Amino acid sequence: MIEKLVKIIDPIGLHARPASILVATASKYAENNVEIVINENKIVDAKSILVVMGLALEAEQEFKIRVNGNNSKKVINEIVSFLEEKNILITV
Amino acid sequence: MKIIGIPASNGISISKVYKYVKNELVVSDKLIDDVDSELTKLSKAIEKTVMSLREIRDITAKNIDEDHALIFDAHLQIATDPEFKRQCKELIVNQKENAAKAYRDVSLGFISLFEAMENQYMKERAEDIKDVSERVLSYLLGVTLKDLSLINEEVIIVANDLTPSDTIQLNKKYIKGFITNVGGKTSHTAIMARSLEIPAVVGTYDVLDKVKNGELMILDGNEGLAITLPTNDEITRHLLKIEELKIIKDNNSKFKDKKTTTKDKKEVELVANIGSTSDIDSVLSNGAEGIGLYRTEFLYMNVNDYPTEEAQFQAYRKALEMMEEKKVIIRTLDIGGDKQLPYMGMEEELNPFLGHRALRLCLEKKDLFKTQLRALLRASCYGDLHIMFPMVATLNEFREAKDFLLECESELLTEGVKISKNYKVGIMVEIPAVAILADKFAKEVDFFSIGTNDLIQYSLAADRMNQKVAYLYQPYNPAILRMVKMVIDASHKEGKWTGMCGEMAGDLIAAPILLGLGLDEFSMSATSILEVRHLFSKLNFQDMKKMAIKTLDMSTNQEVKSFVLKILHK
Repeated sequence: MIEKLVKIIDPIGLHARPASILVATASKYAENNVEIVINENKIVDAKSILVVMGLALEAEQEFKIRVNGNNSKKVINEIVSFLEEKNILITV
Repeated sequence: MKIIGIPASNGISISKVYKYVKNELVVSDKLIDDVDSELTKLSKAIEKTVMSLREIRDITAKNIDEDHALIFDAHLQIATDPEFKRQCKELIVNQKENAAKAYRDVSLGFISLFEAMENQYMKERAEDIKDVSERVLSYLLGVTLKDLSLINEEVIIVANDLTPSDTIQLNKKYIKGFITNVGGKTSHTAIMARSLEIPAVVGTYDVLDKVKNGELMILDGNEGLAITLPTNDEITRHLLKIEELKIIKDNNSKFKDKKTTTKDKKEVELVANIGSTSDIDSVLSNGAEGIGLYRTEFLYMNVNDYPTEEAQFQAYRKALEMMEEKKVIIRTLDIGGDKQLPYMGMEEELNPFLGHRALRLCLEKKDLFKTQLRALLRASCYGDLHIMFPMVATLNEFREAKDFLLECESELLTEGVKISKNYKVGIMVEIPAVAILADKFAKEVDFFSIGTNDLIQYSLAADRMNQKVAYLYQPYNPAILRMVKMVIDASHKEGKWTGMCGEMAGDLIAAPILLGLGLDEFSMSATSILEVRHLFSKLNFQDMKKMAIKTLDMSTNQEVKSFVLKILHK
């Protein structure tokens, strides 16, 4: 299990296109669980568009991305760098 | 039986009725024993949904463009959402609910979750979830869902209303027209029909109740009526009319590559109004000399989020490149009022038509405005760009907008971006105060384009969509003609020009008057251009001048109309 703390930088927050891109990216990794961790009581599936949008996260908000399964280090790095490239979030 | 409505798009069709009604989906509470069977039903239904959404997505990308197809990408993500499936599975396995009930219950849960959110954009996402759930449920219940894009025979669509999303899916090859209960001449349904160049009639109140699926119907978009279960006689008559229209069209087509000149060699410009770059083929094939109005709102509508600078730049560049050396007037964002963007989270206003919209909105939300202006400036090198600001009320507003545009230009130049030195900046004249002060504006703008749809409504203080006062929508009212003359004269005095992008420009009674008043450019839907060019070729400009002056001295709409008709018939 590996985690990274990130901050949303897209001005519209984590809905519409940014959410869609995050979910599409996470969904590519069929062998891994990818989760968004707000706090220990609020952990959600990053492959679910409805749940991710439902979080209604805004710009400047921070959360952790958590990956389980094979090659989790490689997977989390790929996911995070892709989202950074798209100017959706940055690592903190 | 004759059904009367409002003519929304020209043409006559004789085809079968296709009733577009959303089906009722009735879910039962029955519990089940065979859990595996229900789980299989659920996966199959989701699979079928994914397949049709992919098909619709591709059809939309082909018929319209990539951007509009993105709506269906979002639907695909919802359909395959793993949390959704997990919750359904839990209800089927643990509560022994049948698949349809489980699916419906879970969807209602998500729908209420989103509907309860404060953010307007999120509320709208509930609509997407409803849409996708309807699809899956209809597969689960074995009820056919009507997908307009999957229609593969010639039909006339009869519906209560057609949303832009509905019309986006239509394939001209099979859809021979539409007729709806609601809607007006400038509603989206009407505009879409004119873009697709298929006949349409709107505002019939109850056509949906009066017809049966598969029945033969004659749809006359010119007259604004439909005839159901036509007699052989009626069919023959309309087939003849179709032939006549075709002959007129062929005659008009001779004027396609000609300049617009009168008998005594006076030249004016006939250009087209468009909503998106997909309209441009029709613009060129109808012999337009340019684009007099590119309504950029459509870039912001039917998408989930603000269009990016890059996406806008690509659209503007495409328009400019396709039109080559011909002028393209692009109007900056004109939303608010009856045109809302759900993701903007706008507050409701009591009087949206007199409210925070168009340029006022852009001057307040400068980032939004900046994105559009940057995209426009970047595209300026690809053709003859004219930027136009809508809903200008005061000279200060224009100055503020122009200054901001120049700021954006400086920034881009510092970034090393190439910008044309020849682009023009003008304004729409839709607010009476601007028409009256046109002489002052003429010193600072490069051109005027009169937006008569709104100018007439604001001047006569009447909403044309309100049946009770629609009679006050009077394009030939001398008050309007005098204002138009003021604007034209003011522009000519400063060596500038005036065009018109309101419906009036393509009106066969108004156009000769406008010609006589000295209007330089007439912008209309592409399909009206050849007819107007043909008409002008038969007119004498000097005679029209004399006629127009006389109309300025008349007192009523009717007086002007009768006078002009008399002169034209000679």
